[in-house]
Amino acid sequence: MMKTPITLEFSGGAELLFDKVKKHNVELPASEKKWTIGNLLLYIKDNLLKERPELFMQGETVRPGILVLVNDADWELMGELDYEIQPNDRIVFISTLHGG
Amino acid sequence: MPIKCNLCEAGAILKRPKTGDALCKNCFYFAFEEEVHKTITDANLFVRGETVAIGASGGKDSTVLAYVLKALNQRYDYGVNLVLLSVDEGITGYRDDSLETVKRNQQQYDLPLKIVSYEELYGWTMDAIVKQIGLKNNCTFCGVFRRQALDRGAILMKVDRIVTGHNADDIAETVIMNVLRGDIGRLQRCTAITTGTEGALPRSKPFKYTYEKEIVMYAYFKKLDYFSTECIYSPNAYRGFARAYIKDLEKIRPSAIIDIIHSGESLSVKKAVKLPTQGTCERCGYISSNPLCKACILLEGLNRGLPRLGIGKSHKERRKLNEMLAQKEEAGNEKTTPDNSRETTENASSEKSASGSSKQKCENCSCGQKCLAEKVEDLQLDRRKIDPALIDF
Amino acid sequence: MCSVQEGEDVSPARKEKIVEERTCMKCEKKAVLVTRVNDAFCKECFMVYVTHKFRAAIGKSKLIRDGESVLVGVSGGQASSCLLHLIQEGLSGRAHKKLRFKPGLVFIDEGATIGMSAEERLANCTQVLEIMEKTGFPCYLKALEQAMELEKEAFTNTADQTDTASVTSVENLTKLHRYDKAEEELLALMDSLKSVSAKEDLIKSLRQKILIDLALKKGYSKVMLGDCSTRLAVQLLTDIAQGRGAHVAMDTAFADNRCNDITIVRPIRDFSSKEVAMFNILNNVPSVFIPRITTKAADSVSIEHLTERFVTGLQAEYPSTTSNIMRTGEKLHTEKKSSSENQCAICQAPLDTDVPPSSALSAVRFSETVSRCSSVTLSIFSTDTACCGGGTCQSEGQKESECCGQGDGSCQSKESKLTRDEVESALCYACRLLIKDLGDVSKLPKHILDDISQRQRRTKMKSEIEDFLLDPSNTPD
Repeated sequence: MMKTPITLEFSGGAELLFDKVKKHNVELPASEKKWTIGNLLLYIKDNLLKERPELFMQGETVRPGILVLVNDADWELMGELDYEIQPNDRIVFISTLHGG
Repeated sequence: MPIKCNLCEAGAILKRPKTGDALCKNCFYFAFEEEVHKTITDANLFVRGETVAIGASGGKDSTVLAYVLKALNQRYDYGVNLVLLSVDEGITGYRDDSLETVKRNQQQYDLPLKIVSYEELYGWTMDAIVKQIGLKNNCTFCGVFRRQALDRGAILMKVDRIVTGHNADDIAETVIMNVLRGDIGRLQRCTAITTGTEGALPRSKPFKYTYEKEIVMYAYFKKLDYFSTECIYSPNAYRGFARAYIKDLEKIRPSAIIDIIHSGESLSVKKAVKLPTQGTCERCGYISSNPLCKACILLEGLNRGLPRLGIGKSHKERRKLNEMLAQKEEAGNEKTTPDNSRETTENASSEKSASGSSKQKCENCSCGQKCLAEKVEDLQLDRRKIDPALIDF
Repeated sequence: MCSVQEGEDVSPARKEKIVEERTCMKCEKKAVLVTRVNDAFCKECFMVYVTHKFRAAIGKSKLIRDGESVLVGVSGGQASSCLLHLIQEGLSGRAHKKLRFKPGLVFIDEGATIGMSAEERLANCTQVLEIMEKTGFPCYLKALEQAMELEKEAFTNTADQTDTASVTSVENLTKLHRYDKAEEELLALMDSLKSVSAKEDLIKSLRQKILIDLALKKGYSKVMLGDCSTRLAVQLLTDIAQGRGAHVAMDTAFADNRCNDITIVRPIRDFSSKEVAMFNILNNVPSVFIPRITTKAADSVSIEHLTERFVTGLQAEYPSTTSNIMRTGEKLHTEKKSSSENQCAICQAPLDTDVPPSSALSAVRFSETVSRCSSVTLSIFSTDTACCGGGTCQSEGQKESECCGQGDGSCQSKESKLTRDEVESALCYACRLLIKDLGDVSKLPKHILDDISQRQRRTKMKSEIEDFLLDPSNTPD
């Protein structure tokens, strides 16, 4: 079992919920299950998110209005929550909400 | 410390959702009724001597409407004859119970009551329709059928006008719905206090500016007898979003409901935009923007065992319909055989001419409305016939 | 009664999850994003598509002439940064058909509205300025509080030197925040507005006023804004929810001509916020997120914020939501009134308060009267209700109700100050709602109060000379 190093980026106002830190280099711990965006979101919520989780997540997924890109591609093309994370993936969360 | 009524010495019992003013019970009744009276007089809703049917469902809106109209008719001498008109959609455990309320209202307010049922008009109860179509699209049928059912009942009762209990919240919700659906024609029409002046019976909404919350308060304090169960066939989910939005808006700014109605009233549509023209249905003569009205199409589907007919994108349907009508016309020119039963028409899509019969319909008089009154009975029979032109879709 | 109506069955299509790998709809290469309902694009084709959309919007409108000076509003946010990037590309020699207008850029610092410290404001300005200056276009910095000091009308010949040149250094930047008195006034105004909805609405009008004023003073004839379709769909619904139905077209169309000399244009109004964000990521376009009054707030903090949540929530499930809303807007127009006296003194949109007795506005007036005047008073003038329905009616009952309703003493100070009624008469329906929220109308910016006073004087003059005018419709403007 190996750790999975990835880069997470938050922008468009989403960074405000992460202590205004835009870029996070993260090593996902080794796990029985494969890492998917679905359980990555839970990881983010438990380990990185500093405040107001309801402004980032809604139920199991990201809040509507937050765009998710995997290696500069729309996550809708990658299976969304079911996408299996690969080492060194760059996953970007951009809030497109005006009020942030 | 008890709050005093804004208008008199009595203690206030409520804060008006509409204006935020604290009023006592009597001053609230007074304000509520005066506002409805003003709505009626400003829009000239009533003409002395007319018979006005109140669309009564047994719910809070129509119950309060019947109560208030009866009171105002006496107080301000409108000189109209009020009657109650109910539609029995045929929903066991819901409408049968609410109709009991209407029947009690009839006694309490001493107003004549007429009940028309989907079953007698269309040959189908909603229960039967839901068995066919399932829960997903049943509201489509109900919405379409109810509108016509009220008109047909009204014609049977020889009334001049229908009033319904639609309140300000309902209208605001419909404005938002029509914006979300990009339906400019309905968006423009939906804030009119009276609709259907051409062709159909005029239909008005005296509660257009009355908040739902105030209607509930009025019914509560007056201890009016109404039925408050939601329809057992769950309503359109998409409308639910609009409803939730309106309620959230109202919490932020209570005037939002009336503000949305103001928006609707002051919208102005570009001249270049083509709005659907209202014609009449070729089969039943009811107003329709298409050659065949929605009710006829839906009914056709039900009778054919193709209940999904008429559900889906309207432009697709219209195109198909136009093709069909063109074919039908051709067919009609060849032969005119009256059809009598479903069985004989199954494989005879080119044999019978529906256009023939629809042409005959208006030959005896030029006035569509009165003609319609005489046709009601025929229509009930006619509706069970199958239009072969529709056989294929 | 059930309010489901005929024809309501056509619910928009729900989002479907993409299962198989998608290729670009144009070139069969691997797609990187899905736009609209279900169109997949690769990076190259997406760029071509976006650039084409931008150029086509400008071209089709035929509004922007060669060599015309255009003031571009830059907020630092994603949409205006995207617009700025597209303008730069379009003006560069590389472009297929070069754009030929002359842009100037302006950033309006609204930090005062959320109580930002001078340092924070400076930091934000520096960041945005950095982006703006890289373009080499003339740049202007403004602070929202400057709206408090504007004159009623801007004259092109009174160029004031404080902000003429591009601000290029941090020293110049600090100068920007020497509007202490104006800042105090703005804060006092914001404080006396009770609701965030009203604050947001007023900020928007003040921002617009600054843009128009600067454009006039510096000789720009157009103001270009980076409003995208998602943003405008929210604006449209917010307009409806705030009683601005009549102004939907002006607020969301490609061109907004509410001000006679300056046209506001929105060339990326066909871009979704997703397209904007994607464009910026793929082109490394920098943007600055600056918190605003509703940032990190609950959904219910304001009408606009709630509407944004509502629209984006629906959009996630029904991908045609934004385009349906915008389609509604396409079919509407705002009727422009000829005289400036028929424009709202705050938002400059045509007045929508001249309504028949059977209308929402009259109904509201009547509701207020009937629950604020004793029934005795009411019965006297309820026989003549048409009077209360009129535009600027001042029936006894209403005046009374205003006084007891507000209790801020504004009614007594008739001589020096404008009364609430006088202010209201010069405002559109929605701006009247805004004023209802305002404790003291004299806190409004000077240019608005001056405008209203002037209207009052003109109306008075007109009524004095009325008997001598041969044709009342022919009065000079």
